[in-house]
Amino acid sequence: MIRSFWNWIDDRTGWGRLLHELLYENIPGGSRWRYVTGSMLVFAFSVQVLTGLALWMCYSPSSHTAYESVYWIQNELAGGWLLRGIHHFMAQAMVALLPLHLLQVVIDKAYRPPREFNFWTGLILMLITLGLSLTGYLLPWDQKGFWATQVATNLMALAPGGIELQKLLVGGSSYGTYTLTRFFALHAGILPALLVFFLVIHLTLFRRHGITAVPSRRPDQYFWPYQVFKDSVACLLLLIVVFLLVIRFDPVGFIQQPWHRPDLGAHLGPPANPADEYKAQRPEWYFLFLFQFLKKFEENEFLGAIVIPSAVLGYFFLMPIIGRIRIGHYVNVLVLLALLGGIIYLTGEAVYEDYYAKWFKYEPEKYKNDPAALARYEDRYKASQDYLEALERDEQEYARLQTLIALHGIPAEGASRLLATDPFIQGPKIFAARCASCHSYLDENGQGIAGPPEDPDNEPAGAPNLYNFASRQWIRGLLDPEKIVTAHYFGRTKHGYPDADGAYPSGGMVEFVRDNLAGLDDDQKRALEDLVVMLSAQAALPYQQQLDQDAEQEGAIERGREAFRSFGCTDCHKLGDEGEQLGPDLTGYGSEAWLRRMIGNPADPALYGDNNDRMPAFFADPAHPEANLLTAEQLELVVRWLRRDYPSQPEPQR
Amino acid sequence: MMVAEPARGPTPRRSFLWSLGAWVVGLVLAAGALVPSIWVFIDPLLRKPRAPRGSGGPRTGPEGFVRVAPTEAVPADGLPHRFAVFRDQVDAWNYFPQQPVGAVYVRRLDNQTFQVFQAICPHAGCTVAAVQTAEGPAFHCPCHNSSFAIDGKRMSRPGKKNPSPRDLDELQYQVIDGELWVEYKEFYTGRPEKVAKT
Repeated sequence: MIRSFWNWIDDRTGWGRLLHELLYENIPGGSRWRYVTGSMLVFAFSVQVLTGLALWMCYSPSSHTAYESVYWIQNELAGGWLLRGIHHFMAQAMVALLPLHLLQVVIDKAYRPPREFNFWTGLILMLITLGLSLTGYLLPWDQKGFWATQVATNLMALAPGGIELQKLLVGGSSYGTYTLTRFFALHAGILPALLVFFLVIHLTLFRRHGITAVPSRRPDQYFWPYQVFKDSVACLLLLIVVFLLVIRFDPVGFIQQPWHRPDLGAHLGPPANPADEYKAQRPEWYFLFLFQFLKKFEENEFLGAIVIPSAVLGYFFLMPIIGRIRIGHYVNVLVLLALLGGIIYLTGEAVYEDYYAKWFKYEPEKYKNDPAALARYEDRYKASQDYLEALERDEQEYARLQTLIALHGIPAEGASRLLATDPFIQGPKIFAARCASCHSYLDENGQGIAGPPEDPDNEPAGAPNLYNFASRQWIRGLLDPEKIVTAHYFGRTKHGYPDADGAYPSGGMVEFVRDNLAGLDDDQKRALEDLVVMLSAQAALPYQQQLDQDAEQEGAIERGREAFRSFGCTDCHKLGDEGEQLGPDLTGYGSEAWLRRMIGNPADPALYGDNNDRMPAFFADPAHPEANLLTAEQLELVVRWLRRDYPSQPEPQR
Repeated sequence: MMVAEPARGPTPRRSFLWSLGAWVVGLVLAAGALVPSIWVFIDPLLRKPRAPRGSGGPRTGPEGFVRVAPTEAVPADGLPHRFAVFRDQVDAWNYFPQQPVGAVYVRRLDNQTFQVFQAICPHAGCTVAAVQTAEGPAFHCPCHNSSFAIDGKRMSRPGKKNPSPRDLDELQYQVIDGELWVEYKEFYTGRPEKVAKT
């Protein structure tokens, strides 16, 4: 019954004969493992088409949606991490298989006449695959892909007519939505169509000329099932390797929690930011050799980026002609092996230079006799550290973005807006750029943002360490006769730096602390602690909220106010409607409003007035927000960061 | 019913006219799809460069200039300081006010004289970093090790290749009401001459 149905179909379509021709290809010398690379490439490409179509259903190419949609695929969609992971690593596997296939073809002389066209279409397929890799890498629009691809398109502009070509590819003179739409059309439409077109020619020609047999006395075999079996086992191995890459070679961890694993699969960093200083700008590993190659050229990028690669490619196309004679064939094999060796060496060198600081200890002693070598060593070490730090920052920003998206979702302006308005991310950047020329921000272990270097010979430079500013701990230190004169507090300002006669020219806080807060008895110490608690509660710091409430209930705030009077603080400071206006008004000390006023204009009569020691007014003119040193947004970000007034960042779960 | 004998082909001369006709009609048919497609595809080449809008919130400055920072924000230490450049931007069909478009390094030479550099490395377009080297402060590119002195000139050091084909790209600036306005431009990289992107 089935047989007669099949006969009916075969009679109308001729499929039986077609299938027979496809499967019963004669393989002279029998099936071999070394013939599997071509089938593996076809398999890999088929996986890319299917996974690519599925990704297409979830992807939105524009500068404000591309990253966001990829983020969603990776973190939210069911199985999105697996889909993206397979597409990503199968692409890499394809690139890695290309040289293997090429090597097999050349070593087995399968490129010699009459198979020239077969070889040439193979080279074209290789270029298309590299084009697919390059265009695909940009599509997530994260920092890594954005910066890496930019170098590639910049180099393109070096070629003759390159500026026009670059404009056509990028869709204008700078990266934006049209870059994404064009890259996406290339990646998902034009290049795959070309690939299929040339693949059909490649395979038809392959069938026309047959397999180039390895000389052997083994009997011939048919393609089916002997070679098909070997091919499918090789493809299975490829799939397993790709899957292991997706799960980071951790099958145990994967089995324990197999369903929602956005931490696995392809890398995703924070969204592209053209104004950022991104020091981990590297191409993907398979283009790393070209990147490293460019370092070897002094002021002649055209030669390194265009002329030599084109010449090598030209040589590839001439290989079938050169290989006509026996000696030419050996030259081809040697050149190919030398090129592969060179590529592996350059790739290794690039990785070695980038990870130098991770793999080797810092040992400047080794170069103490040779200052020039020492300078080179230091530069190299520093460059590697910068690279590794940039990678680390990339990871931190991404983790932060995950927290923010979990809290707020993604706004229509894009995910980068979340990072741009987050005190946790922006606070340290603003502080480092605008505040750290005087202030430091260092925790108990000395980690954080360093202030200016100490210079005891010159006039005081450096203002208080603002880590945990206005917290109980911070105020305790300020009121400690030993600590107030250190660099963490007033030690290097005019307020705490005695002149030649040992007097403090600007403000009497240090003298007051020394004269009145040293050698206290137990009752006084308790009163001082109440004072600290009360003053710190003025700041209403989010991370002390519970402590402040307890203190209020327990009466410590009230007692602290009493201590404020009894210690004589009111002689100089205002607190609410009490006290004199000689030093800064301490009402709401460390609160958001107080910090805004202090950073805005420290010479405000209610703050330091004429005693202000060199601190600029960062937001003196609220009527013209754009004319100030900080924008209104930056002021808010730095104030909230100092107060740690932002959603906290959970520890990474690894 | 009998199948008709195939007619004998026309004379070669007539056949030439027919094939010419088929080619012409075929090309017209292909043009129906190709002309509009290619026309739109080359839009980036045909598009006239539009002068970037002045920027700085509600105020506008001289044409092509972008407000970078108040001059007070540049310390008088002669060292390069990095500033992000924000500008209104039209990206494809969308208008975005005050987007980060790039960065510049500003040095204060004396009270009202500055030196402004594009932060993009003229070699391959990475962003250069202001660093401390054994020889003092300098610019270094983390990609291919181009290095520049703080005045933007290429540094040559023994044993170190400097791949950059030109010095750092200096930008024009104006000081208007105590604020630094920079003529923000980007340049094609990798060539000895400075060609501005339009």
